[in-house]
Amino acid sequence: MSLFEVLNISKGNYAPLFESLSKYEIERNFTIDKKQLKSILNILPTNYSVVLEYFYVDKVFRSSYYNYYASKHFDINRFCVRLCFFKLSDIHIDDFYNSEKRFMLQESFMGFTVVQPISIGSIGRTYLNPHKINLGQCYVRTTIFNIVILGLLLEVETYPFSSQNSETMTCAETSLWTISEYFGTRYSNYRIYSPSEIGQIQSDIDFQKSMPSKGLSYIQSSHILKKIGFSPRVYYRYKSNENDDEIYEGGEFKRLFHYYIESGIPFIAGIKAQKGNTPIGHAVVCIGHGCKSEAKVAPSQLNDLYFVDSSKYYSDYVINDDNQLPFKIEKFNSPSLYTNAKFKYFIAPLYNRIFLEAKDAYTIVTNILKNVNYGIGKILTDKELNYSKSNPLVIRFFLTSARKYKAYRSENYPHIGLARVYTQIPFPKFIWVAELSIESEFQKENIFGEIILDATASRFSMESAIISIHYPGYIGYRTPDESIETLFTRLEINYPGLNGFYPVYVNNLVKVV
Amino acid sequence: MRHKELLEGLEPSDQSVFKSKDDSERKESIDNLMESTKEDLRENEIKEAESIENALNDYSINI
Repeated sequence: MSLFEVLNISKGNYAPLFESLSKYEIERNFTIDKKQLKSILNILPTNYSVVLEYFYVDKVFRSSYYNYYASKHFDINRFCVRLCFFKLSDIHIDDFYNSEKRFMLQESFMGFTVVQPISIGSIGRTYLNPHKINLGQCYVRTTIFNIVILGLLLEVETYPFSSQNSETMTCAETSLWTISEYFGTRYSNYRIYSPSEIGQIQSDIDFQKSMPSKGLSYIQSSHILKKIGFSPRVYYRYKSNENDDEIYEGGEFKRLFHYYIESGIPFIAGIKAQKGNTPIGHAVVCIGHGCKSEAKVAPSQLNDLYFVDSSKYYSDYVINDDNQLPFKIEKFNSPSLYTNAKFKYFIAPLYNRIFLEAKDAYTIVTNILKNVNYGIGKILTDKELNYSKSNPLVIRFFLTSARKYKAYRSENYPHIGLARVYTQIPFPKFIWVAELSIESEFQKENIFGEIILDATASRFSMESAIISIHYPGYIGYRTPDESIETLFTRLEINYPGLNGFYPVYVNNLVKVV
Repeated sequence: MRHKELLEGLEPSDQSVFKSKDDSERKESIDNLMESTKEDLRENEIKEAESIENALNDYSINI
């Protein structure tokens, strides 16, 4: 068998690729999930080249192989086939040895998928750059992964995907693995755990044998997240598993769900659904959201203040579902292929120094906004802001790192004074930000103020949570050695130069067009 | 001093919508804000307990 093969695919004709793969299937005695592979190929452009690497050692498959498949009586091959996709339809293998063509290869590299020599779950690790494949407009969390093919180091910006093999990796283990792969690649605080390491942690906390996998409950998933270095926070939606009465009323569960998405924190979401008449549970990873609706949203009220939470403009979310495709855009109210599918819970894998969770942070912000003495009501009477019930206040809420926030606000501000405040006063590692705008300007991605909270505060020390309040024409802030009174004393002074609209913060998710 | 340096170039006006307060008035206003927020945070605590309680009774497996 060849070691490498380059195929030029034109007009979506996959026949040459499937012909090459069928030889591999016969030789290694398994069947590729052609339906799923075809679905992946369908999201690539119609003309491209694919490089097949026949003796590919895949770290994820080898982990499951040595831990499980090698113990089986009938032989299962160790080697995978890696398919690397390039946007150009006329690539030749010698291009990889031509220094003049290497830049072109990187530019056209769309990513790869690994075909594993097992019949269930043959589509293994799949890393596709969302900017280079056919995807609707959306906003996603990605990071850079490096691969080497034919001696050439290539980069792919993506979020990891894999189908489930049902034996070592069900949906829950796959979700945990992608979380570990993503965080371990992006941040030095975390390390990457292989499927067998995740399986070992599961085995250590389980009351019975864990292989072949029987799936995981959300408690087990959350426990494993803790063991691999996160401080997970679980949001459970329903009063019971039998009906749809919600603990979080008035759409609050969706609001909290959206805040973590807007924060760029990929998280595991549990789905309850039906397969035929049988109730089932499924887990996916949520990694972004769809486009903002331009339709008017009925405002809510905070005392006499009309406002819209920005989450209400979004109904679509980007998920990695191991039964489907990478970067699948799904409706919040119908997030899976299964019947009557609904999100039941989500587990946000938080950094261990984040103590203030979304719901409490939001409560602090709304209490400031509606406060008689220091709320935003008096500011909104300024006619120039054009605030009304039909053009209400908009609150956009998210968590972000102070580093990224300072970097962004050093370039995007209404007056350099605000940039000086945000870049010079000390922030904790993570901050909660409530951006403020009015609907007509928010639709143009502009804001006029923000409230910043310390994510290391807790609900029991809420007065220490407020770092700054910026309304149009006003700025109150404090440093760690200053009191909350200092912040509000500063807020009482009007600086007309601090009026004006400026861009929303966009560093948490990347826009795919 | 630090405050003036940070806001250099910004001229204050006497048109503030926030009534300037003496220290005791300000402290009272802040205390009121904190108290009302604490009541809402207590409700969050109750809801969170309910969420955890229900979650702990759910042993369904994701497959």
